[in-house]
Amino acid sequence: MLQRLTIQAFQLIYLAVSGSWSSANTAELMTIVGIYVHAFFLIFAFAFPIVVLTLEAIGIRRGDEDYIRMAWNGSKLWGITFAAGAVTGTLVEFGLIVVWSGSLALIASMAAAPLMLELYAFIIEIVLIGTYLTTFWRFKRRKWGHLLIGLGVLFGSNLSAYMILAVNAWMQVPWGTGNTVSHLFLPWVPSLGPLVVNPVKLKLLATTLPIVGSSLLSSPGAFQLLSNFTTDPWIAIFNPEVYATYLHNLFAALIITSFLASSYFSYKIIKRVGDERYSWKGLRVTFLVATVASFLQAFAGDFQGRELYLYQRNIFDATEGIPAKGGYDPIMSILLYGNLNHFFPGTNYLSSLLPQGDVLGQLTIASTNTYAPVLHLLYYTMVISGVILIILGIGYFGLYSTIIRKIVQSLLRIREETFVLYGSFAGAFLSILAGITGWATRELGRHPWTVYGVVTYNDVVNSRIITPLFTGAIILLEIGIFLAGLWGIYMIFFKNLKRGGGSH
Amino acid sequence: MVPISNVFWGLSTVAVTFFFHIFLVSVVLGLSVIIPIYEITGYLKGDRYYISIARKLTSYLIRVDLFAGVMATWLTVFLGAYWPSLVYIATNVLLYPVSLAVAGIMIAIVSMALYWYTWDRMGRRAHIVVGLFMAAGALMVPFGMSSIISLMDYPYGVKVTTSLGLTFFTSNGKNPLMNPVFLPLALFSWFATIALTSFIVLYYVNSRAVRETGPAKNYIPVISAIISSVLSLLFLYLALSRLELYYVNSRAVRETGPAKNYIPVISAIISSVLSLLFLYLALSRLELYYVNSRAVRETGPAKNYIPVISAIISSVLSLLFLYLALSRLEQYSPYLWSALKSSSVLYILIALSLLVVLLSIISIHLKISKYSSLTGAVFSYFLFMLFEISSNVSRYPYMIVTGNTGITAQTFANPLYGIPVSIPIVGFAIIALMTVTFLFTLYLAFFVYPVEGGHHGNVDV
Repeated sequence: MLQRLTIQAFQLIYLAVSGSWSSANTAELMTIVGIYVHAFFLIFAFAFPIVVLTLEAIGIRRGDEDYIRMAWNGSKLWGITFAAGAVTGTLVEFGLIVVWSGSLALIASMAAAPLMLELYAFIIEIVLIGTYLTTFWRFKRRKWGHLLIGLGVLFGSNLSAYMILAVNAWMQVPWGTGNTVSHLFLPWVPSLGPLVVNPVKLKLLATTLPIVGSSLLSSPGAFQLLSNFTTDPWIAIFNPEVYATYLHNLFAALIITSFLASSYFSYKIIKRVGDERYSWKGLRVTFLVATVASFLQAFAGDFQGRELYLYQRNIFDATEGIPAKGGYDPIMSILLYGNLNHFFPGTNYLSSLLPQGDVLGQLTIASTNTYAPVLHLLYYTMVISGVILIILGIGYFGLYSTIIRKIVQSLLRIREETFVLYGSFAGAFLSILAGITGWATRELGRHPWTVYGVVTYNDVVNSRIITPLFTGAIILLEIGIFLAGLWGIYMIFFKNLKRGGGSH
Repeated sequence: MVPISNVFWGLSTVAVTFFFHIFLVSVVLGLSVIIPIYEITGYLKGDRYYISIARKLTSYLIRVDLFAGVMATWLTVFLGAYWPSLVYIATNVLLYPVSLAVAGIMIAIVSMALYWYTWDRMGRRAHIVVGLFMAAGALMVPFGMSSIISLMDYPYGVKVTTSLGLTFFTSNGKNPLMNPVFLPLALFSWFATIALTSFIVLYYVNSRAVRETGPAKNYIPVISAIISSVLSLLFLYLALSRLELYYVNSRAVRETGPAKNYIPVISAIISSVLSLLFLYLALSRLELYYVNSRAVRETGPAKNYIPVISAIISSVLSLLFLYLALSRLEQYSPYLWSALKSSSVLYILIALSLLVVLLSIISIHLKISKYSSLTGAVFSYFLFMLFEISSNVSRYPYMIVTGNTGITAQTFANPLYGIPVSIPIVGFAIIALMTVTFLFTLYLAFFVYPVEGGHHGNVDV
């Protein structure tokens, strides 16, 4: 498999260097970098409020100012990460409209309602972040009132994330299209909810875009041919896939941010910066949050996997490493069917379902087979990372349980405290790795589709040539923003430590 | 058939968010330019007063920019949802100018956050460089975005073809930044916003200072500053006209061979140098006037020449580019021009612009500036908003003006389905609620718990 991966990597490099990449390939590269940079910052807006509010709530409940000070310090991170997140969010949004301009058809149709609701969530979040930071330390009597403002931030950020993920989920599983997808291109796809999208118009869109590309939208009159597209613009919000995706992403973001926070406290303890007792308080809480989230993530991951099996069988085959001719997967078999012997038919079977002349269906199978080794590797990197995170979480309870403490000490030959200190770094690394590979699996697996079974990447890319120079400039900018954001975090949280810090 | 509710709510949502957006970003742009000037001056003069003002203004900038940025996102999504074809045409033809604006947004916001959070935490020069990035990014945004407005006023660079009874709008390969309407509009946006922010800053610094005695009566530097300014403007006009002549000449001969006439270019360069020289003289004379005002030197207002000079320069330039923009609209967008003219807005704009210039000049006088700064802020705001609103509304019922006619808004509205009316209504309610919350937060931040230095950007360990 390693050899195959190497060959694929060289093929990609050759295509890029020789200029054989299409606009869609080049545009995809800048989108990938942009989304990952955006994701790194947005997770702090998405899930970090849970960590901050937990610390604040403990502080208020126990009357311990240390926790409140930790919440205050943590909330400062919102400023820089929110700025970088908003910037890269703008980039992704404009990228969607400018580079993938055909996706305007999606924005104007099924994504309109969730995206507009996302705007409302966004303004709630941003205004309340300002109020939260401005009024910190100002509520002398009604401290819970300040926490309430923080809950408003959490509500705004999560509603925003839910709505964005609803759009992404609709691109994975176009809910509300009934049997249209299976009739059009991908016969293995089951019925995708009630039929609220006009099948004639959807078919017209799906068959016209590959011919004229995104320039369909350059004619307002042509776009009017798609009138009466849907009877239920809210359907994307109630897509079962978004429930799984939201929970899976929320827990992933929470694990990453809380492990990063615990790594910060561990770093201070190891480097003997500041008050050790203070840092241990923070470490215990943040590690616990990460642990709880890791446990819950197991269920959310299972939920997500079931959705994949149900609605995107070809991607499931690739991620699980089911051979093209089919095969057995005891773990999946017991999880899905309750026995060890279920036979999973591979992509050859799916291919046999394709009607004559279904070029896009064949392209889908070819793409799945091409990317299968990469998808399998990415997927299992995520799964194994997740399993190790759970083990780390169990080990954490050695701080409270003598039995677990003894197991940790006898297996690893280190003190429980050392395990927790260095486990934080391992947790941060593994959770980021799981996040990167998990999202890559999701997006790479959908190739060649933008909206699974409806619209491909090539159909929505801007009809103007996306040059390598333009792509390179945007990628440089994205990396620049990423580094600037990291630099800001360093200046706020680490430079002070190097100076010797001081007692809180 | 396009649902009529989409046309109505599409226009309403875009109008409301555009109004909120430009109302706030005008100050963001101006402050992004003025703040680094304050900081640089502070370091050059070794005077903490300027740095302290820069820091307080940044605190305001950060908060306003967050709200303004959200409104920009609202505007983009509403445009995409209600006017997909228009957005497609704009982004297809204007791929590079719009990308420039997006890059500007990213540079500006990141620099702004770094600028604020790293105050006193990094080297002086590095911090100033971050501030200059902030200014450059902020200036790039209206520069790129003005290309969209220009395209709607005069679709330069757009190829209109008809096939199968359908009309298609695609790029004809011409550089949209060469749209004759574009540059005056972009530059008017720059200078009008810098002018209005200068007045606001002037009012702010005046209100902070305690003035015990009047200014010195030495008017010689003022007179020489005025003369230098006039000469500077004259040479600027010459430089621009020479450049335009070169551009027109080179375009005219492009089809028959390259133009060999470099005399306009040389004279433009000489005029530019002279313009800058006289500008420098004008600035140094004005500064001298303030420094001469010994009676008030210790209490603050003597150091307020930055917003005064900035207001004068930018208001004069905004008048110049307003004139240029209107004359270009007359030439290239007759429908829009006649709509502006028939509603008398044209005359109000010119009158307001002249008034703003006058107010900026009389703000040189310390006693008067207390009143003229506030009046200037109000009038320059009114000028900027009136121009933006009237020039956009005057296109109606068209979305893109083509000579004496245009393409109607209804043609561009989302035809796919009627977007539920509850969505924009809820949106307006949330805007109202969040605006109140935002203003309340600003009130708390500036009047109840004002920023007064300290290590706000650093964690306690």
